[in-house]
Amino acid sequence: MNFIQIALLAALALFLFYFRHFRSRASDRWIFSIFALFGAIAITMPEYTSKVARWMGVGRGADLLLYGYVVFSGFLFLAIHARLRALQLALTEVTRELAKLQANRKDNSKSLGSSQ
Amino acid sequence: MTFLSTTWIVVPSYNEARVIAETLSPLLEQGYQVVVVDDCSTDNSPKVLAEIPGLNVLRHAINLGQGAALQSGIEFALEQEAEYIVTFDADGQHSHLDIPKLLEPLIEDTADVVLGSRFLTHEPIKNLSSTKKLVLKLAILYTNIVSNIKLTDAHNGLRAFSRFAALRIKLRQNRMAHASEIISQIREERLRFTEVPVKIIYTKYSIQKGQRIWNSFNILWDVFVGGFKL
Repeated sequence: MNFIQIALLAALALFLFYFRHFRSRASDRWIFSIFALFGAIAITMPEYTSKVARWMGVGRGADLLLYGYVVFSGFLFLAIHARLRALQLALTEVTRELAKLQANRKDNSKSLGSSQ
Repeated sequence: MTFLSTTWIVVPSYNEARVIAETLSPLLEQGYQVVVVDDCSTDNSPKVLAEIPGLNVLRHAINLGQGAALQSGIEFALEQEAEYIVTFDADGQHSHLDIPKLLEPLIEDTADVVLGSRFLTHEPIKNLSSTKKLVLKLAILYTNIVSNIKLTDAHNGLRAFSRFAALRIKLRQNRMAHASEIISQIREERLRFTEVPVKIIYTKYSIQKGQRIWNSFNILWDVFVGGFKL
């Protein structure tokens, strides 16, 4: 295995660990910012991507960018998934409370009716 | 039979209008407190349920899944001072005759959670296909390895909880992965549990309404994503 293969597998393992143990919305934003910074560097200084690519044993800078993008989109997918799950849990709580409220209301109206 | 007034049967239901009245009538006849959680059914369940006297009905405004429906029903029962809570499937695959067997360890205070197992009985199970049996056995193997709890049937909807246990179980898996979630929470909360043999009646209707085998993959995915930090 060469350097880039190990790096990609390590990124995958790191993500799984991150999402299960350390993730927060704030840290997600920091990681997004770091990816954006690397993106900006790759755009403004394309010669460096080729240099880094050769050093990593990838060959072409374009290939390195592709690998970087794959890692980024994997992160993006999991981050959005975590966010959706948080929203789903909130929606579940609202739906549950509403269901319980409506059930109670029915009981209340019944007891009101009998006391009159 | 003083425990009847504080024994709640939680029945999660989605589009079971055809059979729900038949499932509920023996439960209500026995004198249990019954709450049906209608998970936003699109059939005429609301009408059918409203016509059943003595029945508590919760209706989710949107469809959330069986795990969410169970949690809603359990919370409602706890708010009504339930001492024992039994979860019971709406499709008619469970028998009310098994409920006293589930309650016994709770009343004797030898367990906090009692799980029904279709594989503990010596009678052969009718209409259980060999593929479904294999998937269920693999699911148990997986759950046993992951949770380090030995069980013979992890995905049976017939369970009983003491008030103590029900207050500690908090289902966050809205869909079918709640079965594995219950097992992990039993371990995390160090609840005392036991399995009792129960009969599953596989009718044509329940098989048709029941879990498709490929849904096991969805369950694994939900378990994986469910572990994410929020």
